[in-house]
Amino acid sequence: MKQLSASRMKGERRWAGVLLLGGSMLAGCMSTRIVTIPNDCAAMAKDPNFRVVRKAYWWGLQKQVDFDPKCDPRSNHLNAVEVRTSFGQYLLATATLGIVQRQYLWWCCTPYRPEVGPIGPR
Amino acid sequence: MSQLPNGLAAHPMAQLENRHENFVQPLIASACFRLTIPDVPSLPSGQPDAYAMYQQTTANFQWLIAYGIEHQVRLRALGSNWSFTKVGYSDGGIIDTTALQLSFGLQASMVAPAYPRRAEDLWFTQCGSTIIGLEDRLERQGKSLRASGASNGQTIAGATSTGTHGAAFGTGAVHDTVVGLHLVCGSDRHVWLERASYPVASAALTDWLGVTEVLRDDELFNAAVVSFGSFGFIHGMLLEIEDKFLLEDYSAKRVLYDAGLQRAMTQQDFSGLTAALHLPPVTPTHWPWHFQLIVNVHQIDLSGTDAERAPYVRIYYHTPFRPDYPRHADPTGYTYGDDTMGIINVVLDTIGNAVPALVPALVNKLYPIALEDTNGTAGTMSETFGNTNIRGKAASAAIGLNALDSPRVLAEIVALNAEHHFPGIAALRYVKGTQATLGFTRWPVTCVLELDGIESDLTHAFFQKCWDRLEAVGIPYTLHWGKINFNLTAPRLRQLYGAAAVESWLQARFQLLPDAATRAVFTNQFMENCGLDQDPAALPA
Repeated sequence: MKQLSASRMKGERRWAGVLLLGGSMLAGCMSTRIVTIPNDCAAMAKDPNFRVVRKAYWWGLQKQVDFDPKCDPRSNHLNAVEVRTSFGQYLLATATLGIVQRQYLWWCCTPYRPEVGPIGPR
Repeated sequence: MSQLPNGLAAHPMAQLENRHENFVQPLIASACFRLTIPDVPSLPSGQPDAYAMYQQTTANFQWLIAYGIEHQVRLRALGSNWSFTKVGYSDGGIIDTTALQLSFGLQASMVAPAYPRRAEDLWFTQCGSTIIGLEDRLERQGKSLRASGASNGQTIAGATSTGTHGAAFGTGAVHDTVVGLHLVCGSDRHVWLERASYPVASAALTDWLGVTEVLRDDELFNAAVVSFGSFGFIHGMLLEIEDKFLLEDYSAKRVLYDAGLQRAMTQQDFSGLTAALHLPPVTPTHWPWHFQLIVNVHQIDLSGTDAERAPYVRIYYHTPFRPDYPRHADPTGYTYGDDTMGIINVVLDTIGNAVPALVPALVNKLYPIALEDTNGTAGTMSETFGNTNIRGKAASAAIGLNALDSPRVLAEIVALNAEHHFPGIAALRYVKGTQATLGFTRWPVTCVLELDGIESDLTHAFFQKCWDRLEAVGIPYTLHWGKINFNLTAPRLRQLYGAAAVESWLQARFQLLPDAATRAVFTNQFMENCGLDQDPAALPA
């Protein structure tokens, strides 16, 4: 009985470990993506230069000014946006009762593709 | 740093993770740059000045090579960052080319008189053009790319340099549609490269490009076309295209694994599938173009008697475009989250070995997600090979095989799975063989056996066991350059491709990059692991 109990506790600890490990390794717990044309980006996947952390304070009463993605002005089209809240950001908002909130923002611009051609000799 | 040239910007990154989250590559932040189409005055007609844009970009590539030599830093151009391996990475600086998407057709005077097709069957593009971007542009003009991978977010140079393929068993992989390369291979050297046996560019085109040399050489071209960015910067490529076409879908979620299906796998003889897939007769304008299977290795019945445990089979028929066709339905509802595979990864790595029944149960539950209900629909290239539905921590290996061996290999994989459960599914896609020296689709018709799973230790262990099993039973194979291939070593590479092919590739690289300092700029750790950083045994004359 004692052995069974120890084995059971070991099993429970393993499951608790899985849950804890899984939770801590989650990159995000909620993401929403808006895409005009899938995969049509002038950016590499996962490029940190196209990702920022946006902040808001006091239950959203104070927030950062609107974000300018600085797409190439010759095309000036935003193709995709993803807003993601990570597990850590969720915990931060919970611990501060919503006073401090953070989210990841990722975006990609539509490439500038000048319409030329067919080309001939110069 | 002094002011950078027009069209070049610092793009600092201390590290970069690949799309499928298999690895994170540390980088030298100050050696990372982003290329854009330079801002130049328009022509008097108001049209963009493509010539000035292109010339300045070539100069920018040359500036980067000079920078790499001066600072003794490795550089590599990167496209969409979709590869599962570090084949296209550098441990120095990454050059983001995704904004280089200038592309255009050619007037007849730009095409060699000996070229056997029409000028309108050619399309010139910068390296960063995405497959979807090219498809969009071409399909609006009544033309189509001739090949694509299963999805279309790669850049054209990234896709071709790593051997991206679909299942076009009569056409080939994406790189098989490339007929000319503009390579920037030195701070003062950039060349036009095409096959001597397949002339395509006239002097007017090479003059327009302003190249320092024109090289017409089959061996050089066949080596360079699949070289993972290690032969210099590929600035431009000339693609063969064709009139816009539709792909009609004939598929079924369960097709008995019988002699008829195995004949299709070995011979691409689809007569045994006519009833199962309701295939129409083959005509000169309506013919099978794409062939693939998807297999749940945990459920398949290889005796061919159990209709419930049978593979998914899809054939696309190629037919001229018409405006009225039954389109694919837009996806709706829910799909799995971006972190779902990450969670499964943690579970598998933690308790996967302790709970053997977990993996088959998991795969059997997830397998239906891989099966699309598209039978009876049709689409253009962009509509057919659109979204990748793989997100998050995925692992994928692709093994190239002689199509004749594919039933035998599938049996080996299924037997292996009975001993070591694979947390994923298999797909078999059939591709016409390539002329590329290190193209992994090297048999007349190559079966690409894809093993797609969750990124986990169990998955990697299964890949290793598959490769070991093939070697143990003596079945020749190759490995996709852009998918997981961690068993590639210098001896194994020579075993897979033959010493002559590897030597030919090394000779070509040496010929295009004769200067050791420049070769060092375009060398990476992956090449060192495979022995592809070495000088050839016999130096070219």
